[in-house]
Amino acid sequence: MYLVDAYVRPAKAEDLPAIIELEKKFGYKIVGVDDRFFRHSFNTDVKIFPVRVISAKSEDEAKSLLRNLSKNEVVIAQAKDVGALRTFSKDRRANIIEIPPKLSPYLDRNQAELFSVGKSMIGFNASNLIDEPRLFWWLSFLTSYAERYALHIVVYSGARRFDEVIHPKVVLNMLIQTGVKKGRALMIIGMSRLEEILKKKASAQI
Amino acid sequence: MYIEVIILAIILALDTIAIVILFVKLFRLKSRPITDSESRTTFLASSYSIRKLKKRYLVFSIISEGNVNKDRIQTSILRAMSKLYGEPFAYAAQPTLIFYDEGRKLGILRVRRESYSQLMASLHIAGKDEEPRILFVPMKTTGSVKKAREIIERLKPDL
Repeated sequence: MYLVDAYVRPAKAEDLPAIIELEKKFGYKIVGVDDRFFRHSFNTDVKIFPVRVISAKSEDEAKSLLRNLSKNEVVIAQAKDVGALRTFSKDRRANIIEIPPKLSPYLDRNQAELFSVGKSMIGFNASNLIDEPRLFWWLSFLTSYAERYALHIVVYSGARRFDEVIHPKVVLNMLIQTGVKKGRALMIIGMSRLEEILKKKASAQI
Repeated sequence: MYIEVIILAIILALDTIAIVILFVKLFRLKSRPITDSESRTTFLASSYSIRKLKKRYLVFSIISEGNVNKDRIQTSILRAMSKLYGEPFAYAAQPTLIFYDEGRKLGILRVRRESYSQLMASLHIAGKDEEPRILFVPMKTTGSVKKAREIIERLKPDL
């Protein structure tokens, strides 16, 4: 089990080396970088992989975005609408799904089954907490929802600057504060599910 | 006959001594003043065996583009805890900066043991509301300030 930060999105390309260096110092072994910044080569021990972020406001838009994806990419899908949420969650090409708080009424048993069909994970971008600390309740809601229906949840830094990189101990305590037991919180940080996905993608490329 | 009387006398004498010691102890506990250095909770804990309020000491380092002073760190921690858990909780947790080395950017934060996890969770949003932005890096947690100071002395300057 390695520490994984599934997504960082630097504001400028020059910020990325500092972010990666800090991630390494904090003990992360695998870091997902926004695909727009991925081409830069780094001389680092941290394994980095490209992450593509797509955002859809309707079912049709979600379908058309999914059609253009290749199977080798790790994809974070931001659903802005219930139709997009349903489409993303049942499709295996969308690996991580970010859900806005306004869609909380739709997170029920049927939606959980769709997540299971698509084998997708629920994502939470911790950088949103910096702008809007009240979203802590949303993280709490998502963790309890994931626990109730045995779904996978991912918390990533989404760092835009070096000072937004999140220390693993901080993530652990954040998850404990949302009501997750320590053992499960450690599993969430370790993200063995994401490791599996990365291995599959790597083997598909070969 | 004589031996029995002597044993009885000894038992009575021991009982009297025990009762006197007990009374003296009780009197001392009730008449003991609360000094400035000793909090009321500690006094109550020692007298009536209530659990003492314990503290945790977090050794941390900060990463920022500019210099940051003590007040900024103290206020940003308190503000972050207030944002996540509300002001009453933040003040009850008593997060206090007890040591900060501006040159090495290392410090020690004291917090009530029950609120340790909340402090750690709020480190992510602490110091991000004004420039220069601060990144708090938790390094080690101890139960005594002495140990925390030892850790600070041992740490390398660049961390």
